[in-house]
Amino acid sequence: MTITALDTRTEIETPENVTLVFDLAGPGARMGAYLVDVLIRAVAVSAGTLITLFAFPLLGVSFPLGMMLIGLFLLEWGYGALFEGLWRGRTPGKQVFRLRVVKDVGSPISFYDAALRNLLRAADFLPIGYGVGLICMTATRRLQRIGDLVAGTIVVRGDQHLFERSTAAFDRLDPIPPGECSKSFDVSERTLDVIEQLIWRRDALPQRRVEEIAGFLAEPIARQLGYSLDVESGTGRNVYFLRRVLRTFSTIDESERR
Amino acid sequence: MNRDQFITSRQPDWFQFEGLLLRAEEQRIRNLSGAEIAELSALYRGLCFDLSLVQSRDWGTSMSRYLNGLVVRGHNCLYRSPPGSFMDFVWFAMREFPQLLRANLRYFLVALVLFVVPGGICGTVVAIDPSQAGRILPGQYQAMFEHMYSDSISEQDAGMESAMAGFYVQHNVGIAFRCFALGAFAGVGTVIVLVYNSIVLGTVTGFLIGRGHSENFFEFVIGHGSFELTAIVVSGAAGLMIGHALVHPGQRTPRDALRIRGLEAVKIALGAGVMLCVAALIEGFWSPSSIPRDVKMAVGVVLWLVVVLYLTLGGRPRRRTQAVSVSPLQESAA
Repeated sequence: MTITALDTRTEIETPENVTLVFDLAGPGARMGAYLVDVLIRAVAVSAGTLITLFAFPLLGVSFPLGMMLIGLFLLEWGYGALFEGLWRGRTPGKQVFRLRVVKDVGSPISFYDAALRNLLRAADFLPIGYGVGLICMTATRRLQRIGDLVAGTIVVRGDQHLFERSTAAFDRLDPIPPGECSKSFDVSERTLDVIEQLIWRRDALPQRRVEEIAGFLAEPIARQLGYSLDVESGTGRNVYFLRRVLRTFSTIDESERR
Repeated sequence: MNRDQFITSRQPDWFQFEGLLLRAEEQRIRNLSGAEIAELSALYRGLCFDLSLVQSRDWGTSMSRYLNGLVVRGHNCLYRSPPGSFMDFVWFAMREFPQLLRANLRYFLVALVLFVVPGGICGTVVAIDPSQAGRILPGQYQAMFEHMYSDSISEQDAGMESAMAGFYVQHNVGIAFRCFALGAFAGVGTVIVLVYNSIVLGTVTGFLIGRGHSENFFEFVIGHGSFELTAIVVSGAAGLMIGHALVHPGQRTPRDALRIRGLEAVKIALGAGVMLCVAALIEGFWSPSSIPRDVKMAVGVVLWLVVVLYLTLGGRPRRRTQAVSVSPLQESAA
């Protein structure tokens, strides 16, 4: 939960007095979403041009051309505003990258917010390729371009986090008996959290690396408990110990700690 | 209660909330029954409490992120701005937009001065001595404008009315929106757009008057000019509002000043866009038509009156509704 100066996260307090954490979207993801939107608009322009050309013999030149020009106007100025305003802060490009625009107080944006931040693209785009917008994003804490600053919006990642019951994975492990710990019998919740994070990610790292990192955690914990790590031997000793610690201390009550 | 017991007791509620939330997200909240919405809201409040508890007890990053994600989604579902409708648009165009513009009259007046004075000076000078036009208007443009207005303007674009109207929407609304957006640079961009357009339009007008084409010219522009020129000044006013909020936020922080004035400014800019769409229809279909000049001039004057009355009177409260009502409490006190 620590929010450091480096984290691209922002905290917002809701009316229920809960602090919500949002992951801010950086320039990379937003540029990607923008390119997808550009592509979609390019396809729309091509399709529109074809339809206009086919309509010439049927409806004459004037009317299809006028409609085409209005279509171009809507694509240029209305695309972002209408999508974000009517589709809960998303454009198709943002949806691909799982991004969403919300107010800087965490609530959904209104149509006018969407219109404001999208009209101001004309300012962010200068001098070329969103130069001003990029500089503005790097200079603000919440990665806002000018349009975001004026409209009071932020772009956040909409990843959905999964939560799996951790204890189920440890059912086959025996808890550490209090008798085996000579000093204390308590591990802080924060430490358990770190262990859990490591164990969840162990498939993403090479096994030896996981064991090495586990060593950095296991030895101080064993020292604090007064537990002899040497009882267990073989590779995977540290990970095994950490899993047992997690198994033991996430299921005991305050009174059993010492 | 330890972490494990907490999860065991609360997880069913989380799953239930997630299920309801998924339905609310996918099928719109309207399709949920009243009881379900009440349940969703109650579960949401419980979830908020759970999240605070997990955060304060350091009960795991993964659990807190999971709950955080659920609360965020619930928050977005329950706190939503009301959806717009066509009647909202009519209300906006007929009442809210003129009201907002009048409430920010000083910005409109500054934009008006910026748009009228430079063009007025250039136009006067060039009308007296058309040879001066070359300082601003290159020779080929002078020839082009002279050619355009030397003959009767009617039927020049005959058959292309829709295309021209579409072009005016795309071109003019684009200019107005850019004029507004560039106000974000402390208002400087807006000033540049206003003054530039003022000088060019003023010079062209002065040049055509000086060369004796004023009758054809005014026959063409008087009708749509009412909505078009006014709308450019209106978009300038909106741009200046943003610039002013940045440079001089007053008693508020720049962020708060922007949040309050930005919303009003974008509504005014969108109103200018609507006015320009009206202007585009007039400019595409009415102005180049073969209707007699006197009729066009008369209608043009009426259109100017319409714009002035619309902006000065639109959305003003009726006298009758201002009658003072006396509440029972006051009566008994008296």
